[in-house]
Amino acid sequence: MRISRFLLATTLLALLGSFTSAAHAADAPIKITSIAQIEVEVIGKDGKKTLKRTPPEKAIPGTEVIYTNTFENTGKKPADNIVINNPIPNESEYVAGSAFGKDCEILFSVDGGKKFGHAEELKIKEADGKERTALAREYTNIRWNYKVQLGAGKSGEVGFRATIK
Amino acid sequence: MRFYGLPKSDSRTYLLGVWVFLLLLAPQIGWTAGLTPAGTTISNVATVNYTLASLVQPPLISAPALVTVDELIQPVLTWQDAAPVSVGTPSTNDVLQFLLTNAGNGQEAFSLARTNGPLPLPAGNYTPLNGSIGSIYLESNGTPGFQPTDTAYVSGSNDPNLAPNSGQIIYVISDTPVVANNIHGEVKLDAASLTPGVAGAVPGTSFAGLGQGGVFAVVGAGGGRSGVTGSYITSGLGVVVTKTIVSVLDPNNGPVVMPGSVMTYQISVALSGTGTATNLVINDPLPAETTYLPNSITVACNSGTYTGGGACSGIPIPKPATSKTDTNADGDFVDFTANTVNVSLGNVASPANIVIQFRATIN
Repeated sequence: MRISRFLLATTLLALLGSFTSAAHAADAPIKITSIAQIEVEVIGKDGKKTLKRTPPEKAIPGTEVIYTNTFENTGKKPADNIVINNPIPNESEYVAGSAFGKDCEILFSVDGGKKFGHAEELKIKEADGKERTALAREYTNIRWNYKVQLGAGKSGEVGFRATIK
Repeated sequence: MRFYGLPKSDSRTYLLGVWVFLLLLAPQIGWTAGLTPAGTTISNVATVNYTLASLVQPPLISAPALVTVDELIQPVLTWQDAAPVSVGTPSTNDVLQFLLTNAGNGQEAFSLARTNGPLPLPAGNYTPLNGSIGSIYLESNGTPGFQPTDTAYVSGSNDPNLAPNSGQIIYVISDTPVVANNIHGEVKLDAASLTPGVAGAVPGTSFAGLGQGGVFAVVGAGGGRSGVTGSYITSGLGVVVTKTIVSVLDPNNGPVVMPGSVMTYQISVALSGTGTATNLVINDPLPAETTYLPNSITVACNSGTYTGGGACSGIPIPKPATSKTDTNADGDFVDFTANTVNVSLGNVASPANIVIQFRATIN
């Protein structure tokens, strides 16, 4: 009898806990999702080749993966000062010029996100102490500064491409 | 004292009773940074910061977007000899060296096959024959270059099973029939993935579950296989190396081979025809059941023209049998190390005849 009461209590507590955390996430008016896709060439009935985005199956070293982050304001008030940070995923190299995001200032980092700058501002110090402009594949993080307000019910999309090493 | 040099067109490898080979500079194998291993999960996470009514809100983190890395199957075969390997006509067991590299990102086994005189056969070429001691060997004994103690390849039994970015040195052994001088003979070596269906498939084809750890196997640019041709060139140079026992002296001064008997071994090196054997080195490992008699090596330089240093170089020829010491560093180009008789002869122009003798006791 004691055991079943204990079980009941813990089950209730666990349920309560999950409700609490779910409620917390649900409460936040901004949602962010990240998806990974690849492009495959599809030949239509008319013989024309088109690129179709599919889930990343058959991804091998050299495959270019498209990461798309969607942010959405599900609340009733507008959100300001939206900043999205995205470390370049493990075992991947950023594809030069691939970052996109409407109404965004796009910045990069080459030191794991300590400092951010525009592509031409990023420097790498060589072993001999000389500095050179960083290569796209040396980027470690991307940041999107969303320059406008995100109204209630509105969403935006930012993303980039990275090649599997 | 050994000679290391780059192979020249008339460099040769001989396997006739004793280990005789040119010590070529071992090819340097440089690996590039590895590919992401098959089965790796790549995770992308984005974080959003924002304000509501000028109040900074807690950052929100996306669920990770995951990508599983599938297995790329990509063998790469390269022929390692710098130039066509010079062979006599006829000769036996001449070696072509190949390197099989697993340029994919998963553990993969490959079958090997050779084609003698691959088509189209260029006009004037001869067709090499499978080596009389075996047709394909795998480097296995840790000593660069082919030795009979390397492992004979048996399809389906010891197929090279390579980790990503690793390689296997392969020796293709051929006999040469009686043919004209200065013509080429080619052997093509092919390696093919043993993952079912992969070898010969269209690049980019994928096979669910057949990659390392159950991921997709994806056929690489070479169609899951790789083939490359190596070549021999016949030269007028003939080299015959023979090893004989010239005398036995048992402990009772009789001719009986028994424990304690002293055997006198003779290695006769004869070059015929025209041409030069470059950096010719004779190595003869002693059987385990014999004990070498220190400083018993003699070298007789009976005929020939010798350059580039060596036991017969820089002395009047003929030079009768002369005792040599076993030390490596004494400059006589003869030593006894690691239970092996080593005699460096330098560059030897045909015709030439050299006789090496040494003694050993039966244990």
